[in-house]
Amino acid sequence: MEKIILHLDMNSYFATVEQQANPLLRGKPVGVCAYLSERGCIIAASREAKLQGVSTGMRVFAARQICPKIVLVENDPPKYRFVSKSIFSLLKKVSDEVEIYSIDEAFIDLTGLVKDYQTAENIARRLKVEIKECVGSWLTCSVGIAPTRWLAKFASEEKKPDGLTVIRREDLKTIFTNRPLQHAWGIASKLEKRLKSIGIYTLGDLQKASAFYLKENLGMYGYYLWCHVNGIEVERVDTTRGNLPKSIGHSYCVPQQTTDKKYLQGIMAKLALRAASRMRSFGMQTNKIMCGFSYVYHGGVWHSWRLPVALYNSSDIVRESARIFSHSIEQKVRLIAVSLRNLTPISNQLSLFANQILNTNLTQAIDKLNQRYGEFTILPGSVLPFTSYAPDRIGFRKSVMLENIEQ
Amino acid sequence: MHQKIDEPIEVEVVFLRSRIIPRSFSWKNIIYRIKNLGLVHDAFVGREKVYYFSVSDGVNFFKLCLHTNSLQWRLEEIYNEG
Repeated sequence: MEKIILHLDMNSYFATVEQQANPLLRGKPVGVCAYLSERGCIIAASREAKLQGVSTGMRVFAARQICPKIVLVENDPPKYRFVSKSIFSLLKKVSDEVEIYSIDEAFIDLTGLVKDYQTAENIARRLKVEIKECVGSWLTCSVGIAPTRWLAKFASEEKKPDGLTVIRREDLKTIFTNRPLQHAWGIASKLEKRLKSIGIYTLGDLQKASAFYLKENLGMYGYYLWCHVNGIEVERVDTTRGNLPKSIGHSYCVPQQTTDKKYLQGIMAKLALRAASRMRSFGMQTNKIMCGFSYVYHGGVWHSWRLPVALYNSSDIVRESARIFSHSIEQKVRLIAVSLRNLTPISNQLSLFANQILNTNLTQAIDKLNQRYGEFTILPGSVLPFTSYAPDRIGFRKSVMLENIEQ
Repeated sequence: MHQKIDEPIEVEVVFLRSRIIPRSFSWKNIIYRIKNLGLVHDAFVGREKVYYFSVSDGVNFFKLCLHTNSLQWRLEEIYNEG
């Protein structure tokens, strides 16, 4: 049976939600920022701002230069999570084969539910109307319908905003002809260079190339790219995505670019505490840590290491993450990050060491208090000067933990 | 221009079709009539659920919040084009 996959992508999501909430912003160029300082980044631009050249990742001062009338809004994660939850609940009324891909994207496997693409289109149109009626009249989405997951996402990107694009199997003969490589999901500038170096200049070339040739030159990823543009499914709609994380981490662009180790250690500790708390909320422990910092100009220090024993307690994780600062800081730092990896379910085996049991009990008690009264109600004294740093954010990661939506 | 406020207010609401709809509120002895309810969302602060109402009187935007433990209304934020 031919698969029919739908991909839904909310348009200029954070900015549109802000315009939905505040009607005075509708029709105006809006930039949602992580921080409202001049060096802060635009993390989402409204359609009106994009038309004037504002793009995601642009610094606030640069956005103001090209769009002096831009209205800057500090991002509000609880608002976006709530709206996402409302939207995804509408999708789940259509089918339970829903993969929440990110805060503003989802796949629905309509195979077996619909008999043809026309019915799938009707479902897509109805979803668009329901989102406007039930969630917010200013919200729009682009939808793609195709026989594979990859093609459905490619289709949704064809028309923005408020698009609806269907790619049928017979369209594959023509749809990629002369299309630039970077139009494809999964091909950015580095991979484009590599593809061009082996004689592949367009998506049409990629489609006609030999799968064996691509695998020889680019490994399995090259083979998967060939499958994608030839309409061969390599990844099904994963309804379990987001149930349990493979890793949990946080990064932060420090407002004060500095070489001050104590300052950076304090912020790293806060990131580690947050990551540890989230990890424990899933009932998990970590067997590997990755952390580091990036300099303002080039380079940085990044390391990952396996842990001799799995870690669970905040104090242990903070101590481990601080090891990165045994390296010298040669330039001013702009970004620090920590990631807890190789997560496994918490072992119920008791430690032999009394202080470890005490630490675990203390960690659990602190978690309970923070859950009741708010994050960082109880925190180590060394982190106290940094409570206003690294606030709650929605990351750009693509696998979204359901808890991030259901908070 | 956005301004953080965080002050208590008095709010007149209507309960309609399982929704709470603010109709007007009083802040610093001025009564603001709400013409548009843009969005309602909730969030947990610790274990307390707080409801946020994004409203406008046509000239200003207000973010109101209702703390469910204390049933207190507060004005969180204002935006106007002045």
